[in-house]
Amino acid sequence: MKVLKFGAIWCSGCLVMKPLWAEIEKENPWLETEYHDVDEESEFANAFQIQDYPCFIFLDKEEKEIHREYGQVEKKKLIELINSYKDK
Amino acid sequence: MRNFKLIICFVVFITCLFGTACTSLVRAQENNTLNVYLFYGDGCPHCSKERVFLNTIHEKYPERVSIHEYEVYYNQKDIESFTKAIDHLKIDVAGVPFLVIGEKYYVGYGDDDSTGQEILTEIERCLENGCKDNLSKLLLNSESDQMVEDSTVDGTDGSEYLNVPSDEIEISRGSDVQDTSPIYLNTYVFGNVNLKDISLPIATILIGFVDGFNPCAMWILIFLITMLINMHDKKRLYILGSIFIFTSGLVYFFFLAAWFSFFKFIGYVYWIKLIIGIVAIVSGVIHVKNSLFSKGECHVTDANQRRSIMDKVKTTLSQKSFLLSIIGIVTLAVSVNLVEVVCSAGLPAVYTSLISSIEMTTAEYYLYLLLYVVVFMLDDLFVFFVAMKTFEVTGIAKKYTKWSGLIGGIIIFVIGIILIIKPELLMFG
Repeated sequence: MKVLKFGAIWCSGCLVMKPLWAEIEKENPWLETEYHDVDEESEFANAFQIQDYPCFIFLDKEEKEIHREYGQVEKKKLIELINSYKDK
Repeated sequence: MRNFKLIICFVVFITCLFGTACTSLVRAQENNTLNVYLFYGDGCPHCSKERVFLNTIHEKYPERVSIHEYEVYYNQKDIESFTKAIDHLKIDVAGVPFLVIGEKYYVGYGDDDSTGQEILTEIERCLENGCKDNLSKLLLNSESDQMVEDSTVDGTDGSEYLNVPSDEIEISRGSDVQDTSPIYLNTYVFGNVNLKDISLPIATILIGFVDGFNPCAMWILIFLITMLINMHDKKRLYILGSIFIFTSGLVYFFFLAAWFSFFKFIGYVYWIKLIIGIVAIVSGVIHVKNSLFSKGECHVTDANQRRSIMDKVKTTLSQKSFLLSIIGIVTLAVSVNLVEVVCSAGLPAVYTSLISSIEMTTAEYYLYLLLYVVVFMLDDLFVFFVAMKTFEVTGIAKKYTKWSGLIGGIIIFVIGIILIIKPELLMFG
């Protein structure tokens, strides 16, 4: 499983989520995540049809989308999602 | 001798003639009153203020000034009188209060020091020199207990005077007269607090706070601070960041002042009150909905517009001359905020409409606008001060804005309902 994180440097919600994800990644070193700036990589972001930021897309081993979350998500919920998709 | 008798008779005749005229003139001045016609709406705050002011004039000249009031929101007969009056005067009047004194008329009412003084001056001028009464025949003939003729209140031309019984010149009190009685709340800490004294500051803080958390303007500040932090130049961060925030606040203050002047200028117009009420209801619903269902996403402006602004910021910051950077930041803050004010046009309109209907001094009005702007800028100031202290840019978590949005949204919604149904309730203390 991999998590794609889409955000922008001007986005308040993205800034709020940044340290939260840093904690999660530190606590779960096995977790693979990628950050994509929607201004720097607009084509890549458009491919996922993202309109609001931050956006977190959960991919399975075959890189297929299995779940997505928008906005400021609580850490507890993210950990639950990560654990439920861990083996996918 | 016969000629002498004739001369004496002539002198006596002239003296009697003048004497009679003078006696009747004085009597007329003593017995007659100046008619003042006020067309008002039940629930119109400016009308309420004018009625209270006219009452003080009546108390000053109880025998000489007669105030005739016509309620034009709900009273069909008075609406007809209003239509007849403006048709007769050949003028186009869109709203109330509408006051006619002699040949002069006043649409709207600012405050006792401005419009009130103009009215008082005109009334005293009419009492002193006389004024033509254009409406008495049209409006007062139908009032059975008043003996009125189309006339002038004039002590010099000998024309007829109005004769209104003294018990007719009381101003009737409607339900919209401002209730200034205090409502106390025991706060234990601060003792008894008059709710009417604190309701406007609280409303100002809540509406300003809710308005401040619109995503339109915040992203530019965050982008600017990020760019400045990346330049590793604290001096530039402090100075350019402060200038951007100050200029943004100043632009918003002028924007609020423009709305406020607009509402003060037009006075009280029913359909505008209705529109503002609807805007407040819609805005309140949107804020409540966002508080309950929004997840704190960012969805601001279109990508091209955003890139254009980002390029402007980068160009401004890349200036080698610090002065050019300052000029660039000021220009950017003005242009961006002028565009972005559209995002929150609803709340400033609701707020300024609200305070324009409350009687205060000019300084108090602008202090409230200043308070609104300071509260409006609090989130920007927070982000900026955190950036200055930690040299890191931060956002404001949704959990901190959720409750303010919810409470503020409900208050704005209620204000909208009251503006439409019973606006005099919003006259606060």
